[in-house]
Amino acid sequence: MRFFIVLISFCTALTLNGQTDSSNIPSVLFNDYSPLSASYYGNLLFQPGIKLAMDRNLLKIEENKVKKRKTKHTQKLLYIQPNFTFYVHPKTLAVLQLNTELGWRRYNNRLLFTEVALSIGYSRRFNKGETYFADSAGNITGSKKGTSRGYFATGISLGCGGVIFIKEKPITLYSKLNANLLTAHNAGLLPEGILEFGIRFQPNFGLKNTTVKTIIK
Amino acid sequence: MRLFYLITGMVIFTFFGCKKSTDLTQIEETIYVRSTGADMPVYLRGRVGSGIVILLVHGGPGGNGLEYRAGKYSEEIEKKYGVAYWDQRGQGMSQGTYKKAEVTVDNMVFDMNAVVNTIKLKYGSATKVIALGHSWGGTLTAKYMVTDDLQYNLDGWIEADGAHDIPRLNKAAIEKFKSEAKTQIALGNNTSNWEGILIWANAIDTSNITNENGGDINKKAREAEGWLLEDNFIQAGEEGGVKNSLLFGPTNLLTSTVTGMQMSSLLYSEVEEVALTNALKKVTIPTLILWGKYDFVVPPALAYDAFNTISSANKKIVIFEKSGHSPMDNEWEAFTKEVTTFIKAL
Repeated sequence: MRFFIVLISFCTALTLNGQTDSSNIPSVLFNDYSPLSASYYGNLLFQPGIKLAMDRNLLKIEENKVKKRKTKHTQKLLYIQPNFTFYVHPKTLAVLQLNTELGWRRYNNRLLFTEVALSIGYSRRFNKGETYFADSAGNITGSKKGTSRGYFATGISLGCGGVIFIKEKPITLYSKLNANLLTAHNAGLLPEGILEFGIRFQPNFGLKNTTVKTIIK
Repeated sequence: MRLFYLITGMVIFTFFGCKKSTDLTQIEETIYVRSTGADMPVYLRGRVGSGIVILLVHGGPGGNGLEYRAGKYSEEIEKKYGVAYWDQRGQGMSQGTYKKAEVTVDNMVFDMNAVVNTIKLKYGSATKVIALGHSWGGTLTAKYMVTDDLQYNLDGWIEADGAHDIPRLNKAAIEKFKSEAKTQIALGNNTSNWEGILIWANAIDTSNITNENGGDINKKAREAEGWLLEDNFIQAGEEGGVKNSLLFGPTNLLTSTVTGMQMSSLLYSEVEEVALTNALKKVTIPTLILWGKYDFVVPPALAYDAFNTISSANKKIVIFEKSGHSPMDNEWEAFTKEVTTFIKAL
């Protein structure tokens, strides 16, 4: 139920706050510092986790298209996003993942956006409880807590969201559907589906963005 | 920012909302066993303090341990004994990295032995371990019983509708389909369905049953059980036990399904040739054979074969008259009674 409350809050917030005056649309590069984001990262939606990330913008394209009486203004961003995620399968596993995403985000007049991203990274899966080790004769030689195994992880994600302004500070609310593939898991592959809800904010501190190349069409 | 706090709060609450029981009277603990490239969870539940642990060897290949906890019988058994629900290599929530060539029945026997040794190490060597194998779990436990002297690590073996001889199973299933179809047609029950079964079964050359036929046997067996349930030949199971919650449970549905399918396909050709009936002569430890009369997946002919072949002085066979492939669900009370009577006598 909590998830639906969060989801409804997202939608309401976006609808109420996305009404931006199209004659004065701010750039989505809000300030000189790299945006930070924090999100709920639910494996199969309900197996909970958290994701922390930082965007590094690489390229921005601005387009203005005049259609009848309206001007359609779009901004597109190519970004790279290193991120850290941690999620749990209750009573079985805890998973730590380090990824880098390369994404493409498209904003409209109202600063609502859609995005697609590809990711590559490393996933470390920790066994819950003690792990007992069998030797080549099948005897148990000992046990240890916190045992883990590592996998190569690739993924694709689709997302949407919008920017709202609270006391003139931009806050982005977004949701993303992630599909990850872990190899070599057991004797094959392991696909995972993850739903993400998060916020992105513009700090006045941290890592400074290098100058982002901007193309205006 | 309130939204941020709400999300963070939810995550923290969920992470720290679980606790581990250390009371041996009713334990709830997860451990892992690492064996030749695989980390396999073993969910320890029930009254381990009884000094008896039932190692539940799940079906499939492609199943998972905790799906066997979703039955009324498990509630009763856990009140008396400890139960170790083991996710086999490549199934359930098992993880690891190994080659496809390492997915063999022999390696899984080795894994099972590591799990037995782990239980004995954790709870003391005096702990009695009884293996309960159902369906594919019956194949695996049967192979364990006839491999070297491994059976002596166990205190008893319960085979429930176990597929210890697939070529024999396929032939017996076709014969059972034919005989039951004739009976049901004569009684006027689900006539058109049973006539279809009869036509299909008569068309199969039992001297050359193909892999495709094997797949059909499984599918039609489930259908036949459904018709027999409608006509009250099979008793409906009762709700009970602890179902693995689809979204919140320890077994992630997507992980378990996908890894299970991969494992099933890797083992398929080897499993289709497993024929252990004659080798069961080696079995000398106490054995209980439990079977559903209307099991078309693994017909009762295999129960009689096993009972007549094994050499144990302490052996018993029980055919449940109103059960299909899962008597622990259909006749859970009778099933539980047989299991507890068998264990008490050890």
